[in-house]
Amino acid sequence: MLFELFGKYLIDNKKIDEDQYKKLEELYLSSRVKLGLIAVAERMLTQEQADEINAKQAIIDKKFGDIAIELGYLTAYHVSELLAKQGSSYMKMCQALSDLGIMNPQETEREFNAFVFELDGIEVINELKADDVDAYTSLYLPEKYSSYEVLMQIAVRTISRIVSNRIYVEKAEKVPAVSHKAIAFQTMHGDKIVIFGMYSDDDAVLKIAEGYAKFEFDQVDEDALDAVGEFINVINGLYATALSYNDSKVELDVPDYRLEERTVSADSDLCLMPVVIEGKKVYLFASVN
Amino acid sequence: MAKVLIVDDSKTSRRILKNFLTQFGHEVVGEAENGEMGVEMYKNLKPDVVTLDITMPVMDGVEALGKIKEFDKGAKVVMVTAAGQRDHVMGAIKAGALEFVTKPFEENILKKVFEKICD
Repeated sequence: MLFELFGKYLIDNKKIDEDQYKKLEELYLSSRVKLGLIAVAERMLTQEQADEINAKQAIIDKKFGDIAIELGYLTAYHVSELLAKQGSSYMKMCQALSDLGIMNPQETEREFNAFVFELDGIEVINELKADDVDAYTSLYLPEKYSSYEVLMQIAVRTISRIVSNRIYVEKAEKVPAVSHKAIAFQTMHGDKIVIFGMYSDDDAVLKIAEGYAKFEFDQVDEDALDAVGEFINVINGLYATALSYNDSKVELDVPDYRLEERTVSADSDLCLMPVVIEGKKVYLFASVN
Repeated sequence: MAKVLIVDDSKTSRRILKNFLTQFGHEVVGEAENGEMGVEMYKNLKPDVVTLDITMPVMDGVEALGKIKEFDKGAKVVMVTAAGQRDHVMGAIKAGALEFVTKPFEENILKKVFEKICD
């Protein structure tokens, strides 16, 4: 999610163009972050020290970390910390931007901080750097500490885990009702009354159906919506489990889906959150009363 | 190899389960889309194992389990459920279900459950 959202921020702020974004994406997906770049980004080494180590590494068969330790620039503990960060999404982004000559790690940090500031996410900047799906989801909800926050976090996390990890969320809004011709949802009742469901304007819900079922659907028909309904059932089951930790019990109704225009509403407004899955937009909606 | 009856209101879940069970070498002898239909098919087909989804229209899995057990005390039943149905699962186990599996199905877990139940 970090790549897509920060990348979009860079485009919107004219720091990169669409072509650079595409190149960045290719590099980001294939890159392995160099230890030196992380060390500079984390301010454990200066750029000059990293360049010196790189120059030595070019002539002797030793690892970057070992040379840094020999030169007294880093300790073994620092090196192990850096190695742990090598798979970090933020570092991969730094690496890709640096490799393309767009910006160095310090400039990337500045831009990332501005991006986080715009999101009002300074308190969770480390989580955002770690590509924490829950943190991004919360920041894109229309209000803080909302009743539906945990449900939306579980939903986006489950999409990321089961359907595709190439997803990002867009700003959610509160709406009195949702109407659509191919909608799937489920109601839960008990200590709370919960509605959660999803739809898409095109065939985007097939991403959900196919991601869950692991087989293809030709079109958005009853069979595809059945798979979407099952996926919703999985999300709601996880939410029911989360509620049970707080001694709150809910029963899951049978998932509801039909291929006909219908409107879903609740006692309070619904939260409507767009989630883009591999370029296709699905709308999640939820209400918890 | 076991003869299995799948009872689940979701066509998707029946298909996923059938694919896995066939892959494991079992034979799916019937599919029912609610508990009532499942009980009738159980009586007619007398499968070695029946999988029962918990949340279904007409008759849910827990009620269907009771009726199947009334008919055949030795019935081997695997409950199928989403997470968050702990009370129902515990109730079903007390009522005689041998195992339960949660959705989404994990191939290895499903395989082990069927190996154990068919042992």
